[in-house]
Amino acid sequence: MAARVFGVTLPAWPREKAWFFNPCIWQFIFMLGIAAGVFRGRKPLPLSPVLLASVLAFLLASLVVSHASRSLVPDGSATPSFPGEPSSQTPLPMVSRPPGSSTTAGVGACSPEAAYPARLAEEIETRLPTIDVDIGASCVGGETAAQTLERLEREVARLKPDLVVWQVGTNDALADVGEDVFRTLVERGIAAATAHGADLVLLDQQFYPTIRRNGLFERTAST
Amino acid sequence: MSDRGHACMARRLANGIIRAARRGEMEAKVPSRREAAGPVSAGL
Repeated sequence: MAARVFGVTLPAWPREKAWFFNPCIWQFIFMLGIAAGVFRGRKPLPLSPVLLASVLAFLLASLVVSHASRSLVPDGSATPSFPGEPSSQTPLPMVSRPPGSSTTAGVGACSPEAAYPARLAEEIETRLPTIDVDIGASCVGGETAAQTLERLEREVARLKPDLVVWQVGTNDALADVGEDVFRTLVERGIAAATAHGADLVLLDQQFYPTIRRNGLFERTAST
Repeated sequence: MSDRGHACMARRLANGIIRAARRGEMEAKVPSRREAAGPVSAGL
């Protein structure tokens, strides 16, 4: 209640942000404690009929207020926010523009904020707080180097980034495009990325347990 | 790749980029460790 009403929060470290007070997580911790106590003592959870009725009434009233009639909720409070809560409307700070395929697009991560391009911005900003990092990902899942190249040339010419991070090779190895073709495409990509003075980081392809043609992946990486 | 994999990849990539820039291997210039740490507090 204090966090919600008075904006009480704690400073986060090492970044100048507020500590995110998440009431749902605290409730979860309380429930874990109660469950541990009940199971350890092997006694039934003591229930007060009055408290139980009050809680159920509160839940029902909350449901009515939040869902049945929006007019019951004052403007701005329909989606409650808490001190330090990250806002989805905060613009993503953008120095490099990683082109790539599914991994760069965030496949496997639970949200775009958890994918490596967004995390990379956070990591650099944490280490170099005086630098504004502006990162954008330009990626299409399943794309080979030939398909990425056209977009890479266009985007670099348009954005003139300081740094290009290009993860390439996984889909080329899967499609078996051939080492000579792959080498030519990557060389064109290097030329395009550096033509406007950008630095370039090339990431080789990912190896994963179910690769069937490991030798092909090895050859693509060495190319 | 999982959230943890993405976080690990971002951390290693950031380390590599900053290290390369500080070694002068890149066009981009980044503050040294001392500059990045900011002014030293007197502790009072």
